Amino acid sequence: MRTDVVGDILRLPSQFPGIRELPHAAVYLLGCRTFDQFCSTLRALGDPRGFCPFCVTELTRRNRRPLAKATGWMLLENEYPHRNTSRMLLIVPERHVTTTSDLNPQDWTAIGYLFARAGVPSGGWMFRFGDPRMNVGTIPHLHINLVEPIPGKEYRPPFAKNTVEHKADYDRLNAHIAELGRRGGAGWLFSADGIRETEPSL
Amino acid sequence: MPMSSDDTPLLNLDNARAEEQKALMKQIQADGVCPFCAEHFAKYHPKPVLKETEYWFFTENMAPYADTKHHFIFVYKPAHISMPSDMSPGAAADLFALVDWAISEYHIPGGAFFMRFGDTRYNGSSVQHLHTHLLMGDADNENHQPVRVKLG
Repeated sequence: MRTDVVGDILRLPSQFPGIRELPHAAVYLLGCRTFDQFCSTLRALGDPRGFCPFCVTELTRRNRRPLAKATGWMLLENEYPHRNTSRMLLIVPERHVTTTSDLNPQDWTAIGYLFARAGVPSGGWMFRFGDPRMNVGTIPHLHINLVEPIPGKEYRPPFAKNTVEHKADYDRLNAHIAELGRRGGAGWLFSADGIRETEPSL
Repeated sequence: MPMSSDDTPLLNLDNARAEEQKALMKQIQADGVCPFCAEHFAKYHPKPVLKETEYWFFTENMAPYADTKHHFIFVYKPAHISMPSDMSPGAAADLFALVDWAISEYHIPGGAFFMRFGDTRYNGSSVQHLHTHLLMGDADNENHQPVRVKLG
């Protein structure tokens, strides 16, 4: 499965084929601003059990500690915060769920607890759901973004992009793919060197 | 300008998007009330309530973001609050049952859900009273423009 997903990505056409023509994995990768983020996300898509950034295996491997925990949920720092925000946090379930319809009342109690623990006085929280072609999503594992803005600075997260933006993102994706190819492709991506060189550091 | 008990403004016209919306907000400011409080909601919100639960009104946003195919809001009923941590127990589970219903009812294959909280001077909201948004862009429209939401 690893090589299937990575292979599909490496074989993407050079010209943007339209958002509807892209596999979901490619759509998730469109949002990756840096090569490191691209590699981390591609590993997670190719091997969710081993590399999903919010699942226990990857969290343990990287010794990534939650800021707080509640029954089955974690409060994490966002590893790719936007520059126009004071803080970006994530409220994430420990189990790999991808939709809110899989949540139960106990989950909402845990989310509320972590929201309070985060202590953000004003801001917003948001999550994307469903088909990533409709929402600019980057990671299938459900995650709630909690944002504390910088007073006086505007932050405008995208919930839908147009063709011009998608094309620009696709060009950036192609650049990441080319870089991956130069470094050794799927073999390098999942190698100890590839993982060490591209995992985010907080 | 009408203020809440913690001295933050009930309405913030700087964050309004449409002229019709601003005009209505000026009228509401003159009336000195919160338009999302349950006792005032039917009077001031120009869109019909599509579904109602113990904790939430579900309706369309009166000034939907441009290039959205769907833009709904869920307005908290039991009290005037601005922080989700002040919601009654059970309100969150009720909200997301309603969100799941809306996604199914309106055939929303993908989208986003967001809630601003706290002081509207910092979070981009036009109404302080707790409410959440469910929206979907119009990706099937070749000429659609991006949907970006002001948070801050």
